[in-house]
Parts: sequence; structure tokens; C-alpha cells
Amino acid sequence: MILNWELALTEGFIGALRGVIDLAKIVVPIMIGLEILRDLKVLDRLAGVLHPTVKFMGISKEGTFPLLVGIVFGLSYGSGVLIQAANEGKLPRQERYLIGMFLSLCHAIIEDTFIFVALGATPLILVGFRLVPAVVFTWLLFLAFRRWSFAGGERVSGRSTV
Amino acid sequence: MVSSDTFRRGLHKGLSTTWELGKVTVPLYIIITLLKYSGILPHIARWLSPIMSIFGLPGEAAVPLVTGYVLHLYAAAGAILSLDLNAREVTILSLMLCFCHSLLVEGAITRKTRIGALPLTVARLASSLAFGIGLNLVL
Repeated sequence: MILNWELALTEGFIGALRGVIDLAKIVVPIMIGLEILRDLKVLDRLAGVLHPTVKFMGISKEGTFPLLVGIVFGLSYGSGVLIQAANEGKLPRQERYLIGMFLSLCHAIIEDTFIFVALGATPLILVGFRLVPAVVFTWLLFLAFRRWSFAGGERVSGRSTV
Repeated sequence: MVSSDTFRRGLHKGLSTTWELGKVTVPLYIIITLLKYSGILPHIARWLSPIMSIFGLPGEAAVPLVTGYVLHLYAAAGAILSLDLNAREVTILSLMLCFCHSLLVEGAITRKTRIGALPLTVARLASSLAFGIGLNLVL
């Protein structure tokens, strides 16, 4: 087979450009939407409401906010809030581990999902299946912490009974 | 409060993300297209197809998968664009990539929170591979 360089380059360039424009059509509105969400402080309010649903994984009220920020906005935002909370002494070490475990498996679900939806993936599968192992691994880590009661484990086990 | 600044920031972030992804996606797409035309990619694909078939994916899907693991999702998206994959294959590949991507950059971020990068990377890779196999079975 003889390689037609000109054809390959043209097809490559036009295809790539078209792909970037298609992604831009999705990325730009998402970024604007996320900024609106941030300025409306929706997640601050949601954290209180959603705390009962994440309590079983050992996440406290203070931890729910960085967790939500990471899930919605992504890992760098989430860990920023996480470090800030840690510096203020609000989050025990174990809980930072738990949030880190959850977020490394499941973050930026809005942006990531839409990138792939643009390519033809099914959104519900991406979101649903991503949450499952994040919850399972975080819960298992919490159980492990409780069993071994790590340095300062008293706080973790104390929380679980609340 | 939401102001015009909110929209400006969003627009700026969206466009700079687009620029960043374009810098990687365009060259990658062109390289993959050249590999496809030159017959090298089909060769690699044949070689990798026994492994990739575990996930119900064609051999050439290894290219976006590895690209996403190492670099980031936008690079993987560029690689997916240049291949002819159907919706089912894109869904499986997307889920695998959502679990595990940008290991270099995100590994560094998670290290900043003083959480060991190794156990997290193992959890991510394990989820990625397990759910790839699982989704191939149920979908």
C-alpha cells in the first residue's frame, strides 16, 4: 500500500480541527455553567442536605463540602478546598484519606461525562458506574480505619456511631 | 453573586481549556491518521486485539486508552475521534478512562494532599480494568 501523505495530512488536520471545535462547543458552556454554580454557592447549601447520604463512609459535615466540590468541579479544585480545610484543622487525617480515595476515582463528573457524550458515549452509564466503586472503596477504607483504629482513630470510630 | 464577571471567567476557562486540548488533540489526531494510512496502526491493532477483546474493544482502542492513562482525557478524546469506534465501544472506553486518567498530573495533585499516590493509582487502575471487563459483559 502506498501512503498518500497529502490525503492523510489533510484528513488528519480537518478531522482534528472539527473535533476540537465540537469539544469547544461543549467545554465552553460547561465552564460557564460551573462558574455560575460556584458563584451561586449551590454546593455550600447542598453539602448540608447531602451529608446524611455520605455519613456511612465516614465523611463529616465539614468533609461533605470538599467532597462535593471535587465531584462537580474536579480534582484540583477539590483538593484545594481539602487542603484549606485541613490547614484550618477541620478535617482529621483519616477523613482526608477517605475523601482523597473517593475523589481520585470520581471527580469532575460533569466535564468528563460531557467530553465523552460528545464522542457518542451513554452519560448515565458513565456517571452511575463511576459512583459505585468510589463509594465501595471509600467505605472499605473507612471500615479498615475503624478496625485498625489508626492514630487518632478514636475520632473516626466515634463518628460512625453518631 | 452571579455577575458578568462569572460569564467572563467561564468563557475564559472554556477557551483556554479548548486551546490546551487543541495543542495535544490536533497533533495526536494527525499522527494517528498517518499511522492508520501507513498500515502501522492496523499492525499494532492486530497485535493488541487479544488483550483489548477482554473489554470488547478493537486492538487500536489501546491507543486512546494508554494516551488517556498517561496524558489526559482530552488527548484520549482526540485519539478516539481519529478512530472509527461505535457507541458501545466508546461507552466502554470512556468509563475505563473516567476511572483512570492523567496519572502523571493527578498523581502529583493527590500527593499534595499527603495521600499516597500509589494506593490510589492501584485503585483507579483496578476499577478501570474491572469495569471495562464488567461493562463488556452486561452491555
